[in-house]
Amino acid sequence: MRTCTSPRHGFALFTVLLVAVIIFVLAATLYFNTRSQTTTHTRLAEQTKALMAAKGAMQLAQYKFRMLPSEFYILEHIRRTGSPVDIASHTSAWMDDFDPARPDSPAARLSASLNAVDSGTYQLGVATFTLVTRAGKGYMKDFLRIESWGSYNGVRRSLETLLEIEVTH
Amino acid sequence: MNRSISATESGRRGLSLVELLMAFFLIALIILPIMRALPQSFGIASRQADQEIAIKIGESTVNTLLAVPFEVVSGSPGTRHVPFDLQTGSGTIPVSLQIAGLLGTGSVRIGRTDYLIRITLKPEYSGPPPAPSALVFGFAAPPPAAGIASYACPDLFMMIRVDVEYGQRGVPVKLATFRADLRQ
Repeated sequence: MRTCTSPRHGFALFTVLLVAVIIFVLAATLYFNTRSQTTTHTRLAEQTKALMAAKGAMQLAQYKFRMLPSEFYILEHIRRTGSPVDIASHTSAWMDDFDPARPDSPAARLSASLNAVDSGTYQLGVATFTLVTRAGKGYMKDFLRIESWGSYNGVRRSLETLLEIEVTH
Repeated sequence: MNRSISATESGRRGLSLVELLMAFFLIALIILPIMRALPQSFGIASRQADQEIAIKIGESTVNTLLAVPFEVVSGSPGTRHVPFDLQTGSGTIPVSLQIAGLLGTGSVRIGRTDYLIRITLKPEYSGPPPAPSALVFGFAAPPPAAGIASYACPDLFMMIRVDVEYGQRGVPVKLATFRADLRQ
């Protein structure tokens, strides 16, 4: 029977095993990193689609103001001087068009149209629609503060804008 | 120099050979699955990069179509060219969109990938006010006719849909938004 007393016995095997394990760990890390990036890219696509929906909602809000500027100023007057009941009813009447949960509202119809484009679930709406008045040089400047939102497969993005109101004749 | 080999040394040399064979076997065992997984991994990474660029192209296209005069996206007859620049890591790439009526196309090559842009415009709402397709807004009517009143809009309200196709196996990126006629 042969015996080996050298302290280097098995050193080569140990080294190879170590190198192999290191290579395996590096390759596995690379592979799983790449796989996990798939989720990140899917998320990026969903966020972009949600942002596009929010931009569509913003167009709807701006268009409503363009069509009904006097009615919006009446609403703002009531918000500043009216009773809570009046404020609630007028605000609801104005904002219902931007509520996708209300059947047949423009926001609901636009959401449905977007759903027909893609396989996911879209929703869009407007969260804030208020008048901001600031003192200018010798006159008051009015701005619209609109916060619109869009969501795609539950991923929600918001868009806020401040538009200066210009009176044209 | 002593070239004699003792029995113990000879035994050690034989053991090293066995170790070497085992080493080759183990390395093969490790490397073979990696060699199968890595190209797949690189393929996924490449497709993800293409998809990310496609999303950016789609976003830039939509933003451009939201900024051009409304006539361009209203579906009116005639062909219109809409140029815009794409900012990439390697510089600015000019892109030209051709829009004829309700359809438009454009293409751009970035790196080794060709991206094809398809634009579809659709009147989501359209007047005149008595038409069922008109956009109707509600508001609280002032006294004496207090209550919820409605106003039917006369203008077009367009859906802008942008599809960006790329590569051979990539799923096209589909983006959509709306554009109102905000002309004075």
